[in-house]
This record gives sequence, structure tokens and C-alpha cells, in this order.
Amino acid sequence: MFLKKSDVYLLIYWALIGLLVIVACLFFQYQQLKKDFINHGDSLYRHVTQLVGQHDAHLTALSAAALAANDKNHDLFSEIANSVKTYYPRIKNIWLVSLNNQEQLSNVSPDQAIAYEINKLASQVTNSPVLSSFGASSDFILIKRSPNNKNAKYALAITFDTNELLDNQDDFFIKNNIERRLVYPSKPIANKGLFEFVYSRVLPIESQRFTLNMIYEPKISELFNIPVLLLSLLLFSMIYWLSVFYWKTRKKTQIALEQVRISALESKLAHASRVNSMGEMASGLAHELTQPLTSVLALSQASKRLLDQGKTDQLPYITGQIIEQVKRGSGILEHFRNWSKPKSNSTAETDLRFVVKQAISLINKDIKPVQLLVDMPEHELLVNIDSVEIEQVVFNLLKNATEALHDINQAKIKISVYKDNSKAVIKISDNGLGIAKDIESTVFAPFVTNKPDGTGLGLTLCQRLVERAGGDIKVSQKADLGGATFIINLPIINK
Amino acid sequence: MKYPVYLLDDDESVRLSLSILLATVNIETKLFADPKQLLSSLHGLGPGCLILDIRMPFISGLKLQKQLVEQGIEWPIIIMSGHGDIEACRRAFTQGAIDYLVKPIDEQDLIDAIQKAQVKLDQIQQSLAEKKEIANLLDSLTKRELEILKLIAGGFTSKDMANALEISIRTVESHRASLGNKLGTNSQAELTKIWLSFH
Repeated sequence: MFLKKSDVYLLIYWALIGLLVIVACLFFQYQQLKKDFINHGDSLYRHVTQLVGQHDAHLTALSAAALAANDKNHDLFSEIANSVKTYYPRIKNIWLVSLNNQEQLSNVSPDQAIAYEINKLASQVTNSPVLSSFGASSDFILIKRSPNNKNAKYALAITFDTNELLDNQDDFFIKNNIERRLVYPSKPIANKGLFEFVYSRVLPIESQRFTLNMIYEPKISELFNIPVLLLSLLLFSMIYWLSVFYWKTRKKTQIALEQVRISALESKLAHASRVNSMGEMASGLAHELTQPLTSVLALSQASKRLLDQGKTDQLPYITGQIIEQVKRGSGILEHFRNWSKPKSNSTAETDLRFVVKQAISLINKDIKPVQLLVDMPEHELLVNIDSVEIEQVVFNLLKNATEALHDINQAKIKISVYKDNSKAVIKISDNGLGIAKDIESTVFAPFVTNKPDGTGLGLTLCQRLVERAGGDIKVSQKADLGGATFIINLPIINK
Repeated sequence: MKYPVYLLDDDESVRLSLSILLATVNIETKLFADPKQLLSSLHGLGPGCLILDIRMPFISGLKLQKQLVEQGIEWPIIIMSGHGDIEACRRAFTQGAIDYLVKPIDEQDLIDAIQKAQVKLDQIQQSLAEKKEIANLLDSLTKRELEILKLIAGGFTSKDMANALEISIRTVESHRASLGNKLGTNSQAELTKIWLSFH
């Protein structure tokens, strides 16, 4: 399985980061909208500026026309005015007002009230024409004196609808419901929140210092640019899960490599165990073989003498004994050969008593002058083990015990084999000095030894071999004979 | 061979094979399987050569050797071993063994060692006999004669002896002659020797 139950956290991280990705997209989209808005705003600004600039030009032309007229008839003026109004439909009215009421300018004048207002405003004209709102909020009037000095005869006025000015066919503003306004006098606005974009800029026209104000309130749904969102999520997910996959694969490889390394070490350890016990066994073997060899030599030399003496009746018996002793020796060698095989032998159903007896026979010659007490059950005790390995373990423990009893008087070792519920137990106790409390917990650790030339591997290997057989080995708290006591538990075969 | 061999080894086949071998050269062997058996039978045994295996239950061959020596057994001891352990060998010889044989034992080495043992046993018997003789002789001396003998061994002149014992020189001379007769020698050196061999 690529994913396990414990990988829930991976999903959680994915969800959380995915959420972050979404938020990033939203933020990005937000910035995009703002930029868009500003771009369009700038575009409109330039457009409006251009149009508004035209008003000055118109006024200049009209002013010239007004001054050029021969008194009563301002035909030129009307002509120009009409033309302007035709081609610039936003300009609603173009009026000429006499400033000192000297003339009656019927066809180009507004009604009296308006004329009066225009008169009033005209007095405010300085270098620049005067701009003022006129009627509806979007209508404005621009007034110029003609000529522009205190001897001005006329006031020129054009009125225009700023709404029409702002209409630039740009879909953007209509689509997004953007409020735009040309405001005079200046009234800059500030945005009131995250979801209110504001554009507020003063036109660079001296005569008409409008402030272009726009408010854009984008809908939250506009932040969700679905294609970008989906693409980002997809990309992120791909990267994320590919990384997870890569990382998991690497981890698996590492674990596998580690396993291989451990297996190799275990093999080395098992081999070391065999080599170690072979060394231990070699001295036992040397002992074992001396006895049959001694007998064979003595019997053979006796036979030769008897033959020389012509006394042949004992010979058959003696020869028989020689044969027996040689077989005894070869049995011992066979045993040793089993121990030194590099690969592990097969695990099989074995009577534990037999294994223990074998180990005892190996050590018997070595453990004098120690008294060995053996306690075995009457019935067989079947376990599933590699008999050579467990024999090594028992041999090792017995050897340790004899070494520990080196200076003890009346040295005793007791080895008991018995059944305890579903376990077969081997208990080895001695009446030595026991195991010191402070090293008790480390006794099975590798390279821990109290022998000057010890490798410290003996008990470690014993533990490994016992565990391989599915059992365990420990130091018992109760010291049966007053010294150390080791207990080996092995699972019994259920029949 | 005059004296028997007492063989102690816990391996039955070793006991058997060695006894068969020794029988072919007319050496009588008595076999023992463990030290306890041997120790308890000692009283009933005549002088003989002891051959002990070094490794046995309850007590090592070397410790047994020590015990025997402490008990005053002067019989020659041969130690057998499955090792060629130098330390054990040294100990065996320091404790008075006449030989240390490494198994498997060659017949000639064994026979030679037992031969040495026989010679030693002869010597022992002889010195025992001599001692007995001297004991008898000394028994025949009177109390006074014993005193004089002691002083002779101490290097006293007759005059000193007379002073020490508050008797006359002539009496001293008379005792000296008498004991010289009984012991068969008048030499001061020999008399001293006789005295010392018993005390």
C-alpha cells in the first residue's frame, strides 16, 4: 500500500498547503483586479483629460468669434457654437453673455436667470476660466471672459455633461459596476476597506480641475479565478504527491538497505558464535579424544607384546576394545563437525533432555573438580530447535559456571530441565560468587566481560541463539545455590 | 616387579587398557575409579606405586597428591594428564612426583616410570628396615646409655659428660663401651648418625 493509516497526516498537510495555495491564488487575483482597475482608470483619465482639454480650445475659438463679431449679429459665434454642439454632443449649451448689459444677444444668450449667474461667476475669472457645477450633479459650466481683462465685454460659457465625458465605451466599468465621477471642487476619496478600490486623481487641466473619482467594489466571487485556481491546485498536488512518493520510495530503499546490513551482521554474529564456541569446544574435544586414544595406544602395545609372547587368547577381546574406543573417538569428532558447520542446521523437533545431556558430556571432562547435579524429567520434552545451537548455549553456560567456580571450595553446578506450563525450562545454577548487582542488567550486552582475555560475546550469542529458537534467557533473581542462576525458556511443541 | 601399581582414573577404558598393558610385563595393578575409594582403602594396602590422573571429580589429582604427602605416604607418585600443562607439571614435581606422563601414554614411558618407582620403593623399604633395626638396637640401651648417646651426638667430651651427669669419667667410659658394643660401632660420627636418624 502506498498510503497507510498512519499517513493521515500527509493528507492533512496536503489539505492545509492546498488551502494556502488557494489563498495565494485569491491574493494574486486580488492584485490582478486592482491592477486592472488602475490600468483602466488611467486609460479613462487620459481620455477624459484629452476631452476636457478640448473645452479650452473651444472657448478660445468662441472667444475669438465673439470679439470678431460686428455687434449685433454673432453669426460666426452661433455657427461655431452649433458646430461644436453637433460634434461634441456632451457640450449642451454654449452661451455668450454681455457683461455690461450693453448688448442684446438673443440667439446666443441663456435666459435671464442663468445670464445673471454667469455674470456673477465671470467676475471670478482670473487667469483661468471658472468652473462650476450647473444644475444636475454631472453638469458643469465653464466660463471665460472675453477678452480676459477688466475691460471684458463678454462672458463665454459652455455647459457639458461629465457623465458623457466618462462614457468611453469601456466595458470594464460597465461590467464591474464601477461608479465614476468627475468631481469639482476636489473631493478625494479614500477607500474604506479591502474590497473597495479607489481611483482618485486630479485632471492636469488648469481650467478644469476635476478630480476623477472611481470606486470599484469587486465581488468576492471575482477573486475566484477558476482556471488559475484549478491549475495551481493541480500543479501543487502533482508536485506534492510526487515528492511524497519519491520520499517514501527512498525511505523504503533505506529500510531495505538497513535490513540487508542487519542481516549481514546477524550472519556474522551467528558465524562468530560458531567460531567462538568452536574455540571453547576445542579444549573439551582435546580432552575427550585423549581418553580413547590412551586406551587404544595401551591396548595396541599390549597386543604387540602378547603376540611376541605367543599369548593370543586375550587378543580378540583386546581388538574388540580397540575398535570400540576408535568408534568412541570418531563419535566425538562427528559431534565437533556438527558444531563447526558454517551454515545453520535445520530446526527440528528435539527432545530437550538429549540436547542437555550432549552438552553435559562435552563439558564433563572439563568441569572437574566440580560436582554436577543433574535433574531431568522422566518424560520427553519436545521443542522446535536447532539442537546444535541450543547445545552450544547450554555448554557455554556450564563453562561459564565452571570458570566462575574456579576458586570455590565444594564447587557445585545444578542443571535442571523441566516443564512449566507451555514452556520448557533449563535452569543452570552454581554456588559461586554470583553476578554483581550493577552489571546484572548488562550481562547479555556484547563486549561485557569480567575475564581478562574474554571477548564478552558468549552470553550475547547465547541470547541470540535462544531468541532465534523463539525463547528467552535471563538471570534469575533467586540464586538457588547461592551463586548465579540462568534460566532459559523455550516454547514447547503442542501436540 | 615386586610392588603393585595403584591406578586411579575415572575413565573405565583407560583403567582397563592400562592394566592389560601392564599385565603383559607382569606388573600387578589395582584399579580405583575415584579418590574416595582410594583414600579409604589405603590402610589395607602394602607399599606400591601410585598412578593418579590429574582430572577427577571432587578433588584434582594434584590436591590428592598433596593430601597423601601430608598423611605421610611416601610411596612414589606418577601423575597422568590429558594436557601438557607446564604449570601442573611443575606443581606435580614440586610436590614430589617422580614422573608426569602425558596421555596417550607410551608403554615404554610408563614402564620406565614404574621401574623408577620400584627402585624408590626398594630404597624406602630398605630405609624402613634399617630404621626398624636401629629402633630395636636403641631399645636395648639402658636409660643412662641413651643419655650418654645423646651427649655424644651433642659433641660432648667424656669429661664434660661426667660433669654434666655428675658421675665419674670412668663410669662414662664404661657406658660408652657398652653402648658401642650394642650398637656395633665406636665411631662418634656413626653414633651421632644413629642418634639423629631417630630424633
